[in-house]
Amino acid sequence: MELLQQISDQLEKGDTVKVAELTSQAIEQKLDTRIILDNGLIAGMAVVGKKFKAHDIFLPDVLLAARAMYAGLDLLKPLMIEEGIPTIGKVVIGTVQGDLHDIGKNLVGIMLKGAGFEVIDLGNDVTPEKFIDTAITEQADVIGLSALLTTTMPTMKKVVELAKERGIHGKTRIIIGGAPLSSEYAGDIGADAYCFDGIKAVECVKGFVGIN
Amino acid sequence: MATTVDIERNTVLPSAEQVLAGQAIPADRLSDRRTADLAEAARATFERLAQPIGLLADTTIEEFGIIYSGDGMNNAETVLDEIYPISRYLFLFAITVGEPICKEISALFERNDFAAAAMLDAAASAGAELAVEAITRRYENELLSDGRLNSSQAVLPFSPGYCGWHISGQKKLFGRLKPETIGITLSGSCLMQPLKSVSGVLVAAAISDFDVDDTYSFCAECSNHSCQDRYHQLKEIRKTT
Ligand code: B12
Repeated sequence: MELLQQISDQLEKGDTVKVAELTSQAIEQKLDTRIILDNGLIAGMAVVGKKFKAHDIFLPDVLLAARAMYAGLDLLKPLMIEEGIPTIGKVVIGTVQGDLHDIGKNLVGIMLKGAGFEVIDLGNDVTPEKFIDTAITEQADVIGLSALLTTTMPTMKKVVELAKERGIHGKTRIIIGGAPLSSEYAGDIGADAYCFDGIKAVECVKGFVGIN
Repeated sequence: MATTVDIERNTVLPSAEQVLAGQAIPADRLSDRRTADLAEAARATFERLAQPIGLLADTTIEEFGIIYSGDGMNNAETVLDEIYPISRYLFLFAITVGEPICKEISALFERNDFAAAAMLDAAASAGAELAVEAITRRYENELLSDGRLNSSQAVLPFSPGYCGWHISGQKKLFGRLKPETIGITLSGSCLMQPLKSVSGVLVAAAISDFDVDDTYSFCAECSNHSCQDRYHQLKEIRKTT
């Protein structure tokens, strides 16, 4: 178990090379894939998330840790597929049609992946049809919509309406984020939640899939 | 007539503190070596890739009135409604720090170099704001030095999407200024490309006219109330010069 603690510690430090090395070692030692993921990688990211929330560390520290996590995850992924290990939940994320701002959406995607979710990033300028079609085919738990301009906010409403039309509203939850948005707006358009940032998004999506 | 304004790269190179501020990182965090290195790397990339350029066109109060009314979606009462009719000079402007830097930000994200990408994004945003500041001060100095403005007057920028000026106002602004000539295009949803671009109007007026209330309906949604800081900074600068 010391090895898993080491993975978690090195991930916290953002050491990509060491996390990859240690994850390989754990795989060689035939440790359970799910345990390497949960008690090594995700455990490390959880500590990072807590420290970030408490302002003990800042965005670059989180992002360096995330890069290290991705390095470990890349090694585990083939095993997870082979062993049929499900992720804790699936999130389809993207910036809505007409909007090309993607830094905020990217950061939220990184945080969600760091928390153990499978994230399908559709990029920017994404049509409502693309969001809903992907959510249906991928059986996503949550759709995350980003918009940075008031002129692109109405597209979010179209996504919610299409979700209703296609019968996934309520089953697939819809969360929204971006500077001009608010909880009131989320309520108005029938989205399930507004999230101010990535930390909030992780808490919210965990709530939706029933994880504390 | 619109005039292209060359903006020197080093005048828009943000400080490490400014790069951090855009990511809500306190300046004292520069004592952390890793953070400082990332900020320096972002500044170096900005210096290498930024292609700052601006466009300016003078306009009249009458013409600006039409541009400002845009698609009729401004708030009922706005800050500019009070200032532009009593202004001395008005210049439409657009600036950009160019496409290469935006492409580099995306490339860094794709390589999972998230921290470097976020740093460069913040550097480019700060650089765009410094470019606005640069053309504002340049025009102010020109107006002051040829006597068109006196020491109790100054220039401040205002942009669609802020202070009650609806973002759709960019359409008429673009129609008149034609920023396409410096490579900035406007999408149907009023998004400028390259992303790190800013449009608006430079208003030359009495400093006291910039002393606006922050009690308009839209002020409630504003996170920084920078209108107050801008006015006080102008007063301070003039006091010391
Ligand atoms: C930096 C900045 C700029 C920079 C660069 C813009 C960029 N994003 O690349 C510059 C100076 C160039 C700029 C220009 C303009 N800007 Co600007 N800009 C900002 C500012 C201050 C920060 C944006 C930012 O980069 N934040 C950092 C990132 C990481 O945060 P974020 O994208 O918001 O994402 C976080 C959350 O929102 C959330 N989130 C985001 N997406 C999602 C998705 C999901 C699913 C979830 C759960 C959460 C979530 O989590 C993220 C991580 O914490 C905002 C104000 C603000 N408070 O946000 C205005 C703001 C976005 N800009 C605004 C405007 C109006 C403009 C201009 C149109 C002004 C002009 N006329 O020139 C131009 C447009 C540029 C263009 N290309 O068309 C307005 C938009 C308002 C509106 N009416 O639409 C804002 C809101 C300012 C305001 N008025 O309050 N801008």
